[in-house]
Amino acid sequence: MKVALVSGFILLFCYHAFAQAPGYVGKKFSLYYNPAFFITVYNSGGDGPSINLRHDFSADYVVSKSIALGGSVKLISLKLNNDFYHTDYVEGHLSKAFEGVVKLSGPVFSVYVKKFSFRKRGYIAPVGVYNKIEFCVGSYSGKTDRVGTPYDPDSYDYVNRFEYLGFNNHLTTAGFIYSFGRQSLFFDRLFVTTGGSLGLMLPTGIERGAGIGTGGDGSELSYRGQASWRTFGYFMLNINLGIGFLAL
Amino acid sequence: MKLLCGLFAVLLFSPQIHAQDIEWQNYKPLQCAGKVPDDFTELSSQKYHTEKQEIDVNAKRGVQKSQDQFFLKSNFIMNEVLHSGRVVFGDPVTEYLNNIKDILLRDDPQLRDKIRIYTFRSAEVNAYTSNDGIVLVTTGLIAQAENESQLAFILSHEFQHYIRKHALNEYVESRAMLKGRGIYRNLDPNEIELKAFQYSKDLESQADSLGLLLYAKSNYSLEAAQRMFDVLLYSYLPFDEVKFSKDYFNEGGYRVPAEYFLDSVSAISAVDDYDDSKSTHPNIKSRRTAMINEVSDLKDEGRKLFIQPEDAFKKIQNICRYEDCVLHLNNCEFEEAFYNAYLLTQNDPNNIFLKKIMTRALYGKSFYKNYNHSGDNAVYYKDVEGESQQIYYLFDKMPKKDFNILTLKYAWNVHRADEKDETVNRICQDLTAELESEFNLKADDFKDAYPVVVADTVKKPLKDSIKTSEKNLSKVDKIKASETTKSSDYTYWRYAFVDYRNDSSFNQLFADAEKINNENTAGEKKRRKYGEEYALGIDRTVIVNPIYLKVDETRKDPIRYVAAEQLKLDLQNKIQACADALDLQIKYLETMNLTNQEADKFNDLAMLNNWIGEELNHDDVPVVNSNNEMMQQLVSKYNTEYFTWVGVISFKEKKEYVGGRIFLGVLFLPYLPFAVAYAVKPNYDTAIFTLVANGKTGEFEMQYSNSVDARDLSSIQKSNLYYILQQMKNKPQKK
Repeated sequence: MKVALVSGFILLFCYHAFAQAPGYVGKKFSLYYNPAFFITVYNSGGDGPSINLRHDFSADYVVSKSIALGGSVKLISLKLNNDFYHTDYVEGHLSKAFEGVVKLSGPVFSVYVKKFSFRKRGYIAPVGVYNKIEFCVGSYSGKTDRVGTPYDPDSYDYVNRFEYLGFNNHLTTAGFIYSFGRQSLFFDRLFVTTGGSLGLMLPTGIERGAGIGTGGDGSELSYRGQASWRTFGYFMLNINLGIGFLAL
Repeated sequence: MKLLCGLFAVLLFSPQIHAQDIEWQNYKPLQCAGKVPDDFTELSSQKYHTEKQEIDVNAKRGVQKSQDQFFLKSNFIMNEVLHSGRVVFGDPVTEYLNNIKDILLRDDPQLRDKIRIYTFRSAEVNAYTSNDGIVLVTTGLIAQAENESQLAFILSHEFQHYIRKHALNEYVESRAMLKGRGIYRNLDPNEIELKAFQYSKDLESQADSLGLLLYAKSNYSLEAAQRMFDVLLYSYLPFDEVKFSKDYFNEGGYRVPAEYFLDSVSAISAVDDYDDSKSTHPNIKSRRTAMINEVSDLKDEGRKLFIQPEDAFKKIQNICRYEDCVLHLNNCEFEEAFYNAYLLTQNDPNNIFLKKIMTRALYGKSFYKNYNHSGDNAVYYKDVEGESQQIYYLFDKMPKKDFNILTLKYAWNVHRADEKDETVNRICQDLTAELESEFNLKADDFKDAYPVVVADTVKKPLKDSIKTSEKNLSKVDKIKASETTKSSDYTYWRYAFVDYRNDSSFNQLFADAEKINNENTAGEKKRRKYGEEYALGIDRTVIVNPIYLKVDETRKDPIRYVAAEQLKLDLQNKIQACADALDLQIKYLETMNLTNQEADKFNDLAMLNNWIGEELNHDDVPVVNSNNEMMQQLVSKYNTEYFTWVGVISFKEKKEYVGGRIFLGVLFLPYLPFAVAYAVKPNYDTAIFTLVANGKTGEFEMQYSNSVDARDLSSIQKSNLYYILQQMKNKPQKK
């Protein structure tokens, strides 16, 4: 309810504040599903190369003939390689260990400015060639991708879920993504978007582990470092191909 | 008997010529009347598809292709001409020409029905025939023709162009020449050029010869037809040769100095035996000689110069001469307009319409001089022959200030003759404002009495009056008179307004001028900066005949006529959709929408075309458009001051150096992807533009264009059209 009220207020504010913007035949509010993908450049999460895929839901509002303001939710969905993580031996318990693919997931929120190339190339928002810069903040955590059977039960107490290691599993990231592309409109409503993006998404801080084990040999830190690099690569370079809907 | 019945029918069914008396004092330019002919309402693409059936399937492929191209281009170009507003139907001149057609083709009703004649409002002396039987005769030609027989001969000639399919044949042949096909193989370009001219001359000779046969069957004078060649020989001159009186502008002590007139004008140099090797028509001597040979067996006895009443010819000739004055003004050919009107005043010295034409010509020239704007159609006086050269010389040599004063003097006289004419009143105001702002002249700078010496003989030229009266003068008077006439003291222009200096309304002009200048200065400050958005606050506008041009430079025939016509129809829906979204009321005036019953709309479109044409000629010179009164009528009729011209031009550009780039890519591999991308990706450019004119003030309120480097997609067009209409609709912000 709260979200609906806030959204309604923002739309109403936009409508009055930017009433002079032309939009597309007066329509200024658009919704997009704009997935981004690229070949994995670091830690593919498997044996061979894989494809990064990021789901991106966004909405924007045209505020002038060349500017649209908006926000998006990007869903991180990626895998870390078949790595070995363990906790320290604590109070007579065997170190817990996990070996398998870890799935990182979580939302990244962004606000953005999309500038359509009016002066140089003549496009009027929200149709045509644009450049977009967005500020993103997100959080994500690692989970077991699939429940597996440990292969060496003698040395460690193998767990079948990554979460049982008790690592501080919550990671945050923030940064900028620059995108460029083209929005083509069909049937006066349907957008097809194409383009690419370059991202600089960095971890917001190195936190100590807080679980059962601290990863005395650096296992937890290693996981966090790998996750951060993996996320950085995930955002670094992407191709966008999506659809959109010109709503209001 | 049959002939008599035919003639009776012709005269009976030409009521406009005989029933209507033209008000020459209040002349109204030619307008269309009655049912709009199908030629004007049928789409170009429809005409093209109909004519395409005529392609000779047994001909070689190249010939078939040339024929197809001809049908395509000729139909689209002819429709452009028909919709230009210059072609008139249902008017007295067209009716008269059609009567001649009926007389010439009385024995061939089928051909008579196929040929459609219209009047073409153009000062050029010419006639044109299309492949599908449309004959256009210019008002310039009718203005110069001496009698009905000469017009009949011209029409006979044009009919042969239609019967023998000359336009089609010439096009096909010229394509063969360009391609070097058949007998044109291995010829160098110069030889091909000469062959092309010769081919054209052969067709003209054939039209002369066969036209004469048709003409000779009628009762028109053979001698008149021969004389038509002389008319054509001198057709580059105005319709008459009358010496321009150097005293024409003189009044009282105001006399235009002799230095602004030529002692003698250039002699007329036209000869009939000129080199015609690079001409589309044989020279006049050849044509005349050929005709004399052909008619040597025929007698002129019993033949007539006029079959229709001579008065009817005189009337339509006069109409065309008046039209030419108007056309010259529209084209900003001020010297021609002035001299043509001057010629017409020889028979009608007090005609106020002609005086207004002359006023406007002087006014236009005056502003063009003040703004150092030569215009697109300017002719230098040295390039002019005959008596009209005096006008060119005067208009060229007289200094700006003097010319401005002379124009105001002339305009004020016309204003006094018709005080209700708002345009002349506005002209006087504009000229006075110019005197104040450009030359810093106030009312007090002008004398309110003529020089003492000439005070009693104000109507006589100064020097003459001195000579005649000096016997009665004392020594002192003689010395004073001599001082007055010294060039340093006798500044003739100071005496321009002696007769009006006590006229309160004239003095008010100068008082108002100061106000106008202050307003204009303030207006300049308010002018929008480049790139700023418009906000006109318009609720209602008339969209005038949008333009759609589609060009694909990668094709041999780059202009995409058929596609553009369809897109032009779609454009109307897009504009309507955008206007609806903005709640902007629009009235759409489009030639392609007209029905057979809408001659009035056709006239409105013609007027608007003339208006915008002249306005664009004026460029930034702020002169009142010569169609101003008619524009005011449209403002009332359509209940809006705003008239909008919109257009879309779409280009697919030809790429250069593609091979070179690929080669460079092969040599330097990292560049190869870019070279391939350049080769594969087409270059598009779409320009969407608009002009919004305020019919009431005669000013352009909005001149906007946006060029998008994309195809002319529907979304691109709509987003731009909406933006344009939105700027028109937006209310100006209050400060």
